[in-house]
Amino acid sequence: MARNCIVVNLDRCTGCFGCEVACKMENGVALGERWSKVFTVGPVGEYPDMTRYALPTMCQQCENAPCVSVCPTGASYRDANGVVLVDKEKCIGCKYCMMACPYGVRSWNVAEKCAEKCTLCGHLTSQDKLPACVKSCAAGARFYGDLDDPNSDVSKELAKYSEGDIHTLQDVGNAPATRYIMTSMIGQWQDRIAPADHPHTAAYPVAE
Amino acid sequence: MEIQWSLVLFTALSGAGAWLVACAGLDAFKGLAKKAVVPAVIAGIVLIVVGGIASATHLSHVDRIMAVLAHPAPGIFLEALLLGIDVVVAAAFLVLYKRNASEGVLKGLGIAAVVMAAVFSYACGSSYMMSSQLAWNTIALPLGYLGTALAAGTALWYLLCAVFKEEAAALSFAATEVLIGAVAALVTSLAYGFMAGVTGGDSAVLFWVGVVVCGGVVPLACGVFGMKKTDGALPLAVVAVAGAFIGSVAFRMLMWIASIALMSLFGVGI
Amino acid sequence: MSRATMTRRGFLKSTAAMGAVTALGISAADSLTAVDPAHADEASDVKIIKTSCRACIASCAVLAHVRDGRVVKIEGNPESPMSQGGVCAKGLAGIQALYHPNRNKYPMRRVGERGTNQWERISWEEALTEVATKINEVSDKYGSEAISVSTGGGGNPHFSNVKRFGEAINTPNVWEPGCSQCYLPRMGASLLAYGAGKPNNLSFADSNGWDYYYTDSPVTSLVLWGTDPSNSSVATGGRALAELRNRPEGLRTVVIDPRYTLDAAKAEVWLPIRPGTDAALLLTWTKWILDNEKFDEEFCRTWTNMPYLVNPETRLTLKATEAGLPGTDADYVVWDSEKNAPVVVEFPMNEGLKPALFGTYEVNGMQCSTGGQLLKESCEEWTLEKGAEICWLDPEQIERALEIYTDPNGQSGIMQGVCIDQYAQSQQCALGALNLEFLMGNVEKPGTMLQKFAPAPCKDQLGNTPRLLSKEKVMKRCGTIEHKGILCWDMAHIPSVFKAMKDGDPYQIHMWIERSGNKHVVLGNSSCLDEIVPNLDYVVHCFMYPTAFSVLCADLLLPTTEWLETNLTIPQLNTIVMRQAVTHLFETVEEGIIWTQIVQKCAELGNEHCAKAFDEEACMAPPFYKNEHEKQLQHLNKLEMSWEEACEKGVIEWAKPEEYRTYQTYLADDKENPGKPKGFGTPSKKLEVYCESNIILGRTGAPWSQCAEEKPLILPPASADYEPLCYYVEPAESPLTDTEYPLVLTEGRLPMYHHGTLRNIPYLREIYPVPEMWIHPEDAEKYGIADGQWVNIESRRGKTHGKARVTTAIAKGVVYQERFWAPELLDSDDPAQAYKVMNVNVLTKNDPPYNPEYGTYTLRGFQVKVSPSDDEILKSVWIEPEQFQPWMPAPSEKTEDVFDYGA
Repeated sequence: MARNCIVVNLDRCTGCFGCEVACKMENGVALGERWSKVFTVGPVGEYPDMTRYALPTMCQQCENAPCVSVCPTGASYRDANGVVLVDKEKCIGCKYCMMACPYGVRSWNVAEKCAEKCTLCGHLTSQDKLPACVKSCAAGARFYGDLDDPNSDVSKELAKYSEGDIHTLQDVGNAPATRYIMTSMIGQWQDRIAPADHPHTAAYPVAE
Repeated sequence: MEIQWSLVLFTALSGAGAWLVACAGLDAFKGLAKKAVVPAVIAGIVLIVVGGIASATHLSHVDRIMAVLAHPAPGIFLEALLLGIDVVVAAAFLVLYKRNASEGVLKGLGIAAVVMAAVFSYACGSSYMMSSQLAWNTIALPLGYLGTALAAGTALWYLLCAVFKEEAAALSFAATEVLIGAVAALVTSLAYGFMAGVTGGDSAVLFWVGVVVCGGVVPLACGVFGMKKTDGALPLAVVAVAGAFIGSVAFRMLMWIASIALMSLFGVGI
Repeated sequence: MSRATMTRRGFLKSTAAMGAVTALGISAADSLTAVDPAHADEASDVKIIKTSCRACIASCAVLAHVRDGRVVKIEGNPESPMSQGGVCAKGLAGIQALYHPNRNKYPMRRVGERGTNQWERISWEEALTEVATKINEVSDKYGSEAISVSTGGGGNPHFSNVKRFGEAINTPNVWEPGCSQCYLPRMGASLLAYGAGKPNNLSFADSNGWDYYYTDSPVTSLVLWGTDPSNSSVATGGRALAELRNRPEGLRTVVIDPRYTLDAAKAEVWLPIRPGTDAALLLTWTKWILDNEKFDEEFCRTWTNMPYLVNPETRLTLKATEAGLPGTDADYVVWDSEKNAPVVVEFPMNEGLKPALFGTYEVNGMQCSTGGQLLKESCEEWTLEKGAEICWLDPEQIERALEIYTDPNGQSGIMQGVCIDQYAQSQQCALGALNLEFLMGNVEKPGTMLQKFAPAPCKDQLGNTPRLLSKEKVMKRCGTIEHKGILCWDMAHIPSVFKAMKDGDPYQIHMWIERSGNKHVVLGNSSCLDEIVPNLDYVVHCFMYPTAFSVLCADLLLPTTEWLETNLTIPQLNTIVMRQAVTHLFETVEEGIIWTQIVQKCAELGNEHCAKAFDEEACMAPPFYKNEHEKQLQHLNKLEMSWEEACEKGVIEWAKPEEYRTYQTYLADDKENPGKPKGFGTPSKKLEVYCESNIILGRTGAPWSQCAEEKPLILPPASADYEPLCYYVEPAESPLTDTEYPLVLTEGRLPMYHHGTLRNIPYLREIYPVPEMWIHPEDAEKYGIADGQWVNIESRRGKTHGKARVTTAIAKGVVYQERFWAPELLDSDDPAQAYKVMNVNVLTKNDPPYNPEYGTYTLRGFQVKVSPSDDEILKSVWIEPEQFQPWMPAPSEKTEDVFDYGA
């Protein structure tokens, strides 16, 4: 089965929030809700070893998605392309999937009273178009495709970098497919972060 | 996370109800409490069902609940299944008890009731074990659900024995069961507290006062006194029930309040 | 979070009848057509129209999806070589701006007192007649200079058109809050010292630095001096830097900024400079480059005026006639060290001669230093240690940065940001930075910032008509005898205009026509308007939606178009990007058409001067267009294509990149002097390291002063000479001595907002609802500030608020906050709070000392104090996403343009 996901090159990302708004505009996401959220992480450390970077987050398309395994109705499922999706008509609103998501990147649709999240813009990709966030990226930092296809945009971008420069958010057995490219130009990758109360666009690493 | 009261009530009430039925069923081996058995099983069934209804109020689309039954999986499906089986076992026991079925049959159902109570109250907690929730991802959590439910159930049994003025032997044995329940609650909740690291900080009061003292020490004391002083059973039982239920609810509240998400990036309130 | 608890005054219905008195919808939703959610275009009845965004100045090419006349989606157009298909949050939110329920829809005349927010709808005909009548009346009664016209950077401005308008109605008092405080200083300095600047200067965010949009550019290092392209030109400049950094060889950067921006986070060296001290650092860099002989000697000798001898009496370059040498008074003199004698220059430089770059020599009884010598002396005291001390930096880090900038195996460039334009040392910093580039020979080579690439055949700016103003009018322009640099843009000095408005000194201004969003949000010390505006008889506000200025000051509102309703040609590298109107709503009119309509109406009512605006001979320039068609033709200029054809193409490549990227144009053959190189556009045709043109500007107004009767127009001198070299002056409010206000405040851009606009866009405002005030942890502790709490920020001008962010991303002793305002408070009992509650421009400084050349006042690098706040008004500020629901888009039908197209 394909492993479709998004790869973000953080060396390029300028933290402009374009992807966040592109997603909202494309999918009519309600005020206060989002399927895609950009953080500025840090600063961490002291200059000259100070790390600060923009981190766009969204559903990480986990290969062992806990949201799928805990869903009591199968509303959270993986489609034929391997994409984790929500069938809103089956959702009973128990919110287990939201508790089970290691990154808390599933949202609640207040009007429809069910869980929802990034769909990798299936309505666009099925027409050979790019997800809205990838298409609009102002810095050319986002890529979409199948990790298992060496000719996909994601594979080609990842191939330019060494293992050590390719990161994921902390994996607790869920195997996130989404990859973040970040080299030493920026500093230290933080695999576990927590958003600040204010501003909610700031995030800092969680002290272990 | 915000306290999900419908889920707290569900596991607290249904868990207590299941263990109440189990205590009644255990009496098939001892034959000590004649009058309290039927009311206990009825009360137990009622608690289990009320708890089940409470859980349904958590859902936003209850009408789609049939989709759960069509999708076997650990979690809600399993809990619903175990709940249903437990109600069936309890009902069967009740009917057969009233019809004076053989000792062997009643003992068998009694064991079934105990097993169901243990499995069900454990399952109520195990569905929360998720790698995404650092303070829930320990076996001490479902064990704590079991232990606190056990304390609440045995305390209720003790209360019913006292209300229905059972004899001293029955009362003393019930108090012993309360003691066992209290020890189970105390040990499992302390274990959870330390495994999950929720004994201090903002949760300190809830944990030490609500869970440990009310939910463990108080029923423990009631059980110890009750084993010897059978004539003061009623007030002891009331206190034991109060303490055990406070502890049971407090334990469940603690789980929500002291939850530690691996990452809660979108900050969506549950 | 509590909802805003304020009185509603009702809201405007789009079908409001003429004459009915209503209030402008601010926080309330307009009960119009139901909102359509944005869909992907499944239907085949969707047209995709190529246009260009104008949420900011980057003008990224976009594709607008239109279904049945409704704009439903915006995405980037990959055909643009600058944005390459990217589009930022601001552009994507264009639909929310277009269909904002509180759009100004019709001309509205004020009813009742200013500030009571009661309006009646009138027709355009009525509105134009009213404005024109007032213009003619004021002109007849008080003189046309008693009319002030202003514009600004937000909301689709066309800077030259508003100047044309001012000239057409015969007032010299056209101004904008940017100008002396934004871009003009860097452009002016470049015009004087480099001989080019419109564009071609060191501002990357204003779309200069074109070589950097090509990844084959040999640039190896860039100095981002007070600029953050990631924020200020997201999809163009930000993209370009991302591409350069992404090359196999990467890109080395030095970031000079008190904030640890995302650009700083990717840089090799971060210099968290004290705001207001850039000149000190520039002088430190200059000294180091001279002392360490890092400059390009050959280039400096041949192509700068460093070797030119300076006449100590005139302070200008020594001429042959003054030296007693054979030649004219246009011939320059250098010193031949070998022969120990002065030599008259044969342009570009005498064969075989290596003129002295430094030294003082006796010529004709005078002690004449070379330009280079004077440069050297000007920075003599600026050692690394002194620079570090003044700028609050580490001398070793300064040197690391210099090593990167002057790496002999690399090619560098300086991008200089708007920060230096925003305090009293604007010209000095601009000249200082240009000198660094001149010293390094970073001029028109592959990989340099300064370039003179081939000009596009289309015009985005149509130019203005300064020769429509008589000498008498030009002399009446407020403040420009003293601050002659503003003449570069034919504009007036704001504090001087305000003096005329408030004190009637030197004459009373009676009328103010303003086109832009938020004067209260962007002007220095903006609450000064409270005392100024009551003195004005009549105030017109042209904008897309009501702002504090509309409610507090305006007597007439004219609705302008959003960018999705406008047309323009935009040069972008070797292409033209077309902006074409995708729809039109209500009775909005593009500002350029408003101007010409007013002028035509004035002429119709008998204003003879206005009639001249349409006469090419009288203008001595292309005349004012009368309608959209004529305007489009002027924009098309030399492009051999009709407007429709151009719009169909969307992005037009008018040259191959190789043809476009013309380097070292100064070496090209000079048609007027065949066999000689063209040189630079300065009088000496050399780069003016010793910028004597600045001295001349101050003394005469040349090269920018002109009028109907004369070009050039020689003006009386400013009160003191403008200096030819960079120098440092400690800010008037200084942290070194100020005990009452101990912290230095600076501003800085955000990627989701542009100037004062977009604070009413729900999807943007929910991301960043209130301004953050960045404060260092040590300072936070000192002043009792906790992360995330509201704080009071106070200066000698006033008080405002911000939400504290305690972070090491800001230098110690400095606080940062960007401009902001709260549209939701316009509906309250105290609408002025909308611009006061969280707006740093309530704190900024518009009193002297000003920069000598441009009259720049102080928006950055002044003193404040901070304290925790629990002010009541803060509870009314909208913070929660749900609060912005009333501003969600209310799409409406396409309407006909108000005025005739003209073809």
